[in-house]
Amino acid sequence: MIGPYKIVFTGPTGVGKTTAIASISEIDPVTTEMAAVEDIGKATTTAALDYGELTLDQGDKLKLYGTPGQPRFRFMWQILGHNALAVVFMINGEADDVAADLQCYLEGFAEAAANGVGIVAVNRVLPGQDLEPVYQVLEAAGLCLPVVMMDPRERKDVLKMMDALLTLMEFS
Amino acid sequence: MAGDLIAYLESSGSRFEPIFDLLRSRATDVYGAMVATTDGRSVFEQFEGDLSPAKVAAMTSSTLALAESMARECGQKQCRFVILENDKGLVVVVRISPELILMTLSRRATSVGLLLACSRATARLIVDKILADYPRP
Repeated sequence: MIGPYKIVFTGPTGVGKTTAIASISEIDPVTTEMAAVEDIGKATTTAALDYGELTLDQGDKLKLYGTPGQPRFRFMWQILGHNALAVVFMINGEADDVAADLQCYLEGFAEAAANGVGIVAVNRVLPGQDLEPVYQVLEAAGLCLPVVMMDPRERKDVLKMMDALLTLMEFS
Repeated sequence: MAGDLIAYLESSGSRFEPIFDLLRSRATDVYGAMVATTDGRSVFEQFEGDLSPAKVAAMTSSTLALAESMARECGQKQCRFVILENDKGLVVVVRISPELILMTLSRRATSVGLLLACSRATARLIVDKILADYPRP
């Protein structure tokens, strides 16, 4: 591979996109946190983008972009998704409707997902939780994406997900 | 607290109308103004034409967030306002409070200085109005 490469992290508000990028970025991440006026369970929310960088062992550089979660920021999804080599679809396993969440972001990044590579990273999976709805959404969308569990606070978890993603990129 | 503020903002939109009217009387080429939340929702807007308040509110939030992030990255501390000078007009984005942003639109005939001055004066009037109506604990 010849870098740099653009990887986009997307998913619902509070799923951990900003945290995931901060966990693995080798630079101080660029964040655009603004006060959250609506109740989203935290004080701030990403209003434009997150940005971090990760250099692989062979010297390739990955540029990591995080999107705002709220669909009203869809225009940023289009900007950030342009020329993305891969998309990480982060989903909260505790959400009321995991399938609908995934569907929303698959639609929002349909072009990027079709042109590049994608992976679904599920956070906060409950013991014994059935992820069949996730696979059903992927099947209905005609996408064959790997589904992994990931705690965005854990660097090793995020790096493991990135390993899987990079393997996909190598063979795509 | 957040719930109280949201309830206030949802009921407060029309209270800003006289302030917006004053802005448009001072800068006659202003054709749009909006109070948006920092997380990208419209509280009150006056637009001529078919602009989407929802979309413009989200873009206003992103614009200020990026500008503030860039100011920090460049070691220039707090961003005070953002000016976009475009072929057919001007956009000014000013932070009103920790939770609110003012965005104004004008045609090119308005000078940047006038629009900025009027926008900042409008932001101050909105702060005064909020403080009068919604005293914080």
